[in-house]
Amino acid sequence: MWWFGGNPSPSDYPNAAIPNFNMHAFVIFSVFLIPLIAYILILPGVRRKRVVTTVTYVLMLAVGGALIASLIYPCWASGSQMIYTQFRGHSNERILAKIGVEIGLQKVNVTLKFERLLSSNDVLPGSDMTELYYNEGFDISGISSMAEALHHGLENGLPYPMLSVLEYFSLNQDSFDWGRHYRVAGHYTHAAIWFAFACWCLSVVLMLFLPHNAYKSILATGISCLIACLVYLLLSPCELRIAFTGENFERVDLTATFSFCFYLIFAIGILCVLCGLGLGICEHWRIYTLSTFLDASLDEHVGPKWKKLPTGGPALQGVQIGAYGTNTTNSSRDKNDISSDKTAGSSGFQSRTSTCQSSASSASLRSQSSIETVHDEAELERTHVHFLQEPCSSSST
Amino acid sequence: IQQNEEFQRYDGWYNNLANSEWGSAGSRLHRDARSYYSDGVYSVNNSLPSARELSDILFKGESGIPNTRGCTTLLAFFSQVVAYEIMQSNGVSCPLETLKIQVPLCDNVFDKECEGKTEIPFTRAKYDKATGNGLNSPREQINERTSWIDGSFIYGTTQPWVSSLRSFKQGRLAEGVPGYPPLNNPHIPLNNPAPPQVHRLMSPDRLFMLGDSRVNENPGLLSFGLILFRWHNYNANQIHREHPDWTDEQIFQAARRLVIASMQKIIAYDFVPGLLGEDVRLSNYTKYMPHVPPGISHAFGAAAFRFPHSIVPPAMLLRKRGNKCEFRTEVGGYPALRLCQNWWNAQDIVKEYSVDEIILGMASQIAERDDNIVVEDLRDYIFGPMHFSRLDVVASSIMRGRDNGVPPYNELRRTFGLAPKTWETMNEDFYKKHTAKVEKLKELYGGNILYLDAYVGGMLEGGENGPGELFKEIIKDQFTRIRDGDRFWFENKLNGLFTDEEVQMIHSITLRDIIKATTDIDETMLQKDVFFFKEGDPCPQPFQVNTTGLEPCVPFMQSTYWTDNDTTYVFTLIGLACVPLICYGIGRYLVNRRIAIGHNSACDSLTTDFANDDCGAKGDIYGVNALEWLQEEYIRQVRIEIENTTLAVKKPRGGILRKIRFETGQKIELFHSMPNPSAMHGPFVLLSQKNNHHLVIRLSSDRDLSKFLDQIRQAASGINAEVIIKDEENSILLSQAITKERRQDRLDLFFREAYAKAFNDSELQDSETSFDSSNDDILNETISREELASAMGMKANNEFVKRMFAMTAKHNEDSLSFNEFLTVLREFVNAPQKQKLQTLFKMCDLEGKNKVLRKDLAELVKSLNQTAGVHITESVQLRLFNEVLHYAGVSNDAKYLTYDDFNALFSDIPDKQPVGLPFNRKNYQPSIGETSSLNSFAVVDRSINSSAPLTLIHKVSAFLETYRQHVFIVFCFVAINLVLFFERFWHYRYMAENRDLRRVMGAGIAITRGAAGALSFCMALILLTVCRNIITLLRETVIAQYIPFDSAIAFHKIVALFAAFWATLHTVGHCVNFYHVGTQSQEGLACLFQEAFFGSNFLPSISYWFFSTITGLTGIALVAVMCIIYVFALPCFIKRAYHAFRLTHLLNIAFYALTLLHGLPKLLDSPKFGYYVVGPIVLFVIDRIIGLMQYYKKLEIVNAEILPSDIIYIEYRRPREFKYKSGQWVTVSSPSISCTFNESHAFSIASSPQDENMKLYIKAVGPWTWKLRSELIRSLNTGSPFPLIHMKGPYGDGNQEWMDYEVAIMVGAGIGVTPYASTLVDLVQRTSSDSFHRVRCRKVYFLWVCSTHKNYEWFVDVLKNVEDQARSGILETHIFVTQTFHKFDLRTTMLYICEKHFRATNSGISMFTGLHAKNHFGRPNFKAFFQFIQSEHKEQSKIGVFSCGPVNLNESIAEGCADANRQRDAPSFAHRFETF
Repeated sequence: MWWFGGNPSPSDYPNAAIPNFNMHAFVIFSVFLIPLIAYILILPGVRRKRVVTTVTYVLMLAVGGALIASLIYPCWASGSQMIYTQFRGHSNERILAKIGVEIGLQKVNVTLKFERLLSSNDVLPGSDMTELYYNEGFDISGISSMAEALHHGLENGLPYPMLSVLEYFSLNQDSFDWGRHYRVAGHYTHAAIWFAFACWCLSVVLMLFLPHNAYKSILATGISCLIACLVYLLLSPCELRIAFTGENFERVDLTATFSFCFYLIFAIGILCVLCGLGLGICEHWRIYTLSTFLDASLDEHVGPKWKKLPTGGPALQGVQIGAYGTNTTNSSRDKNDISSDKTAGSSGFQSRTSTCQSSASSASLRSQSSIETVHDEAELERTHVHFLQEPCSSSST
Repeated sequence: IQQNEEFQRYDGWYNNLANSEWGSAGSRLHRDARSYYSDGVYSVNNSLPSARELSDILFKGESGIPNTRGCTTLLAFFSQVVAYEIMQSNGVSCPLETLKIQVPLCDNVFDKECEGKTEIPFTRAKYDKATGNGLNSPREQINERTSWIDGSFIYGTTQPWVSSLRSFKQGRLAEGVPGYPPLNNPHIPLNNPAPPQVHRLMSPDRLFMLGDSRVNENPGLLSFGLILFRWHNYNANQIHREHPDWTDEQIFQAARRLVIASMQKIIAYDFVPGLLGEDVRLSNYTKYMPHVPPGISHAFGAAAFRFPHSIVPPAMLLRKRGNKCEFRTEVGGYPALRLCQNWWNAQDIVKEYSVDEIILGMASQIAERDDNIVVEDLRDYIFGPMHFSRLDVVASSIMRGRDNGVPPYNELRRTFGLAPKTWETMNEDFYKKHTAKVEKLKELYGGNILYLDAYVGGMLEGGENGPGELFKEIIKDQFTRIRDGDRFWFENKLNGLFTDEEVQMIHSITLRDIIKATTDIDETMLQKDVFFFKEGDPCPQPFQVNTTGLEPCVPFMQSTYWTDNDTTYVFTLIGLACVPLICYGIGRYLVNRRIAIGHNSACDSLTTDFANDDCGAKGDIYGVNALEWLQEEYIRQVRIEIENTTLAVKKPRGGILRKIRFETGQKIELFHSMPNPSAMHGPFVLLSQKNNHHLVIRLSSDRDLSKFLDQIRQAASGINAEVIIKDEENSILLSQAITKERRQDRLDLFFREAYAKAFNDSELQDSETSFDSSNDDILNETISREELASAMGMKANNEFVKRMFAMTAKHNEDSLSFNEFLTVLREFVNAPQKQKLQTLFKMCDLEGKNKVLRKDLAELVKSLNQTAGVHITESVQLRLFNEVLHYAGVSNDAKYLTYDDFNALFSDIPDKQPVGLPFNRKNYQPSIGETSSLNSFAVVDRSINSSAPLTLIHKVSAFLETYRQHVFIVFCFVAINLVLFFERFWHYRYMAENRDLRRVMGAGIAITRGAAGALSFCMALILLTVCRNIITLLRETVIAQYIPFDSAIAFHKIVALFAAFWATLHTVGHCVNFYHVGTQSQEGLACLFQEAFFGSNFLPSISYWFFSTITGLTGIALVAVMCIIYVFALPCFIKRAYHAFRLTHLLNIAFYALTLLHGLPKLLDSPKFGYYVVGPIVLFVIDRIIGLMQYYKKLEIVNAEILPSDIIYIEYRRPREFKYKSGQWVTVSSPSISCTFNESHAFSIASSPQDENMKLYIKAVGPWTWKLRSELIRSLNTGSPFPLIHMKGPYGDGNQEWMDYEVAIMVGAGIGVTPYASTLVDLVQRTSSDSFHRVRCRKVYFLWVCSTHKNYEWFVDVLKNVEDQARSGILETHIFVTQTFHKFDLRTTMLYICEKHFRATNSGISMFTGLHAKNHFGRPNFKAFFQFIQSEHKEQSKIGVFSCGPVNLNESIAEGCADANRQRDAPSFAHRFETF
């Protein structure tokens, strides 16, 4: 067994230092990142409405990601403070440390980071606190979960400042109700965010299948986001002040202020409301309609069309159907339909049938169609032209 | 004192290195003796004597017996300070466990009336939930304070508490008024029970904020709290002075260390010896002993340290400050401050008389004796909960001992190494003095001293010199353990807190020093040892305080928390009960209004304000715009013109609709609405015309009405006609109006009655109409020729009708009375054939020459055929006629027909039986040879001759067979409901004991939660029943074999009814539950609703629960919403107020949203509704999305026609991706016909799936369809574009499954044939093309039931088409013409003869329809038909029956199916139907 080495001793790897990488976050956000990357991948292949589709796509993913993030991450309110403190029993060391509290909808994170040792007269030789960094998450969703967390914290021997923070959250009587406030606020906000998320899911579905109606659910998403913010604003306590001794040996308060998630959701809410309203108004006045998404056009019969169409109403509708039929069925009967359709003369259809005969008019049409327009009827026409040109060119070659 | 020492945690943790939780707040009490629970785990022994009785026997006595050792009251109250410093173990645990202490009969405090009903409540103490589950871990109560002497009485045990007390300036505690802490404005959780003397909850703002939540209980205790508070600040000031550079935190901790050390010294070395007597001292401190547990023991907490109760005086003397020994003689009118009148009001006393006076008074006042007697202030008048304002400390102590499982007296003695005692030797002095009492005690314990409660025994031991030996032992042991086990003890050198000098200094601190430092009391006025008053000490008490001459105690009060809730509760309940009534009232109002207005105002927004083309053209003619009311669903705009004596009803754009001519001497009867109806709707005018339907018009205003009436009068005066004008209520007027329809009904009645009389056959009578009342009317009724003609399906100018009418109408040539009609009818029916023929002959014989012109007869027959909708040309008819005559032996060239010829012509008609009578009559067996068209049905009735029970079984099994899927699903549904109910019921009845719900609400909570569970399920399921699009998709899958999707709406209603039931149960249950909740104490509520949150002085009332919680508010809103939804979904409202139904059903969104909100606050439990509904809601949303994706807008009508019988035909472009199956239906709406909440209308698709366009046949019945009809008419007339159509669909239907059966029977009646127009074409096309493999059908019977096929020519075309294409005889069609039977049988006879001949000569083609299909006259007998099918297709196991038509048709088919299914060995019938 020479190739395995002469004396295989029991393998004994050194401890792996855990890299500072949040696997949880990575997995969750990959749900949103993967479609985004996939989209960017196919972006060059998206032919029509590149900008609109990209904006919508990114918006949708961003909203979804933000909602999930706000549900999971304890960053609705947060605060941190440099404190001068004792942190363990049976010793009188005092350290300078940074304590932080991050409050989420259903959990609280308390962090403690060692800065430097300030005074001690009985430090054991060789003890090194410089690596001391605590980052503990606690569940606040249950009525007594914080009291349990405190008890466990005491049993597990968390540093004193962290226990103080937990103590503030665990009391549930009269005015000592900070934990309860955050819990209740988190509970209702959580519900509102879930509702917003449901609306978001709905908007994704509508976006895919009924783009015309997507603005309603986007609006609903936005409104529920704003409601979530309002609920959090109203229900979370105004003053969580945890007294500590600060760097200058004076009293400092660890206070929690609204944090990233709150502002993110607020921004998302505003964004969604604006988008939803904008789209809604556009569709109402028929300035612009979001009618396709990723080049799919499923709801052609469903929504109102862009105004710039010659709004012939029913007649045009009929033509459209016929035109579309040409595109898909490739039957000569449909062609006849178009040419014989009495209403076709009103729009460019007639000239289109003539594209086969005269290359000049087809050129003019092509130039027409090369104008970047974003409404689907023009697109329809263009694809139609495209189709009709094909047999023509093939015959000429 | 040092700057930075180790911080001693407030909560007592990490004191002991090995057991970091030792002595911490919230740890278990120390068990030093075996626990004595009756079950060994946690139960209290209920067999022991009543604690109150023991208290009455042993602890009752006179107050004012001075302490023999000279203990001052200061010692008594300081012992309370000590107790609060080291323990708090009377918090309540959740769920609340309340025990009752029996009050002996005629107790002079609690049962003055001798009722014997009173029970003193006792709540068991908070315990560690990890214990009390097993024999080896009995229940262990919790000490909520630290057992260390660590100043927790001053600072509290939690960081937030301390922070709220600190000023954060120079290490001091915050002060409000100098020397006093701030008042409790921030509402920190101080105890704040209702003071029993005022018996109401008071604001916590009045209390002082100090470290212990109980500190405000009495003035003595509060004084100590204040002194110690000042003592901290005193020390902080000292330290600050000595070390000005120290930070606030450092000063605070150093001062705290000093305060703790001084308390440790005073308690351990001054107080304990003082309390226990001269001879007992703690052993000298040797060293810190980390192995000694410091926990408060059960025996100490529940028995021994309750000994000081006996020395507490009934009142406190107050002594003025200064050098003179002066006592207050006037304290609220009494010489001393009564304790029982000042519970929880101490702050007022302290503020008024200052701490100094109280302390001075306590230092002088001699306490009560160390005996068994406890003063009444504690024993009878200690504070209690609101519902029982006074308690007994002694009884509570006894109960506490039992609650904690403290062992009995002798057992406890044994544990502490003391010899057991007997009744007699327990306290020999006492036994001698009070033998009777001890004997009574003995008797109560059954003579067995082994049961004697430790507290009772221990208290009896006491006497002259402090507590007895047991208590002494326990107390000494306890304090020794606390001292030796404390790492932070001031004498412990190892902790490095204090230097030796400092320890010495601390050793010299006494309570007197503290008092001196913190008060303005003159040094000389205070004795050296403040715990005792000895001879020669300054200022002795003026008298030994006893209860005489003191303020009496307010007696105990029992009150209910329910007070003041009655009104809210009752009115809320009444309000809730009123909601459905109000809804019903609104519904009735809507219906009544609609009846009064005469039509559906939500749909018909027509006005009389329309342009009139030829207005003003003829100025002399009076004309007015009006709305003509034709029926409730149909009004139209008309123009009324009166010219001379003629009233003309014209279309708005010209064209006469109706003319009424007034005749000379005629009575013109006019009804109009009461003047001043609503402003919106003008008056109605009803103009009756004889033998015709009434003209009902609505004029735009009362002014128009008067003009109109004037015109009528004017017109009448010209011809001398009498005008009768009456006014009438709108609704009455409209209900009296004989519309076309009502007239038709009347005529039907007329004829039916006539036939019934003629044939003596009651079967013909309409059983639903009561004839008795209208019989006279009928007899007086006359009909016009037009009506007779239309009854016979002919035109009025038809030759036959003319002659017929002329012959019958004898009195009046214009009208035919009932009797006349009956006579003729009788003649036709009962008279022999000959006479009949004679009549007929007479009818034809115009000139009375006994011969009939051949031409005349030909005309007559022709006219008959014409009306029957014969599909043959005149020449063919003539040829046919000639053939018939020839066949009858009449030569072709005979110009006249004689009677004999006539006779011969009709000779092959059976004599007795009128042809065309229903062949479903029992006594009639169609003879096979004669009625060829009937022979396919002619089967011998295999009557089922079986015994009755067997028939019942057959019936049941037939029913089960027909409805097996329905029964299966409904049973499962009901069972799931019950299981869900039962599961939740069980859970809340037995499994949720820890929630305290059952104790408060009993079975009520279980029932409501059970109902909530089942309701959630119903509400989830009900969403699935309305997912039309998904159901349509599922119909084409295998699932359709198992789930009867046709019955979705019926199931919807069943589920809704269940939901209503559960919701009612839930609501009623909670109304009861909230009554119980309203009677709960604060502690009970705190346990019950842990999520809810109340201040200490807030007692939630019923109005809080109902109107201030999300759950309550949404609950009430839900009741309202649900009532609205349900009430408006009642059939009577759906029918008459459809828009209201639609509108209120939109509230379902609110319903679900509210239900989600209802559970969100987690008041009783975490919400589960979401889990039930999330799936259905997702499906429902998907369904809606599919619906929206299948919403095809702006479809162009390419063809439209108005067909007879108010049928509209439209054909519109089929959207590209619209796919459907034959038999499915769509809903159609139109933007140009707006009808709020009623815009979508369902119609069967009449075009086959292969068709290019969509075709619909729509019968105008409702306002929308009528409007569509008039829109189309307008378009057709003017050439304007047709309205655009929006379409949703397709939706599935039972009829689409026809191709799954080898033998299918389709029955279409009336407009119900439309789906078959699609189906049959589909069938034929599929069978003739190569997609035949998809159709299982081998044989299809199509039964068309119609009054006359003349009205359905379009369908005849379809059938013709089908017949042409159909190969292989797969389709067999039968046409049942129902009109001909019951209208007039003579004509039928004639028709029948012609038809027979025509068929014979024209290869079986009917002369009516031009079809091969067999014509039957009369209604089909489905029983016979199904029997025939069964015998024809014996090999089949299942035959599909599809029907579409009115209810009674479907019912009779279903009956027939059920009947046929009773035949167990024959094929069974599966009936799928659609009702119009």
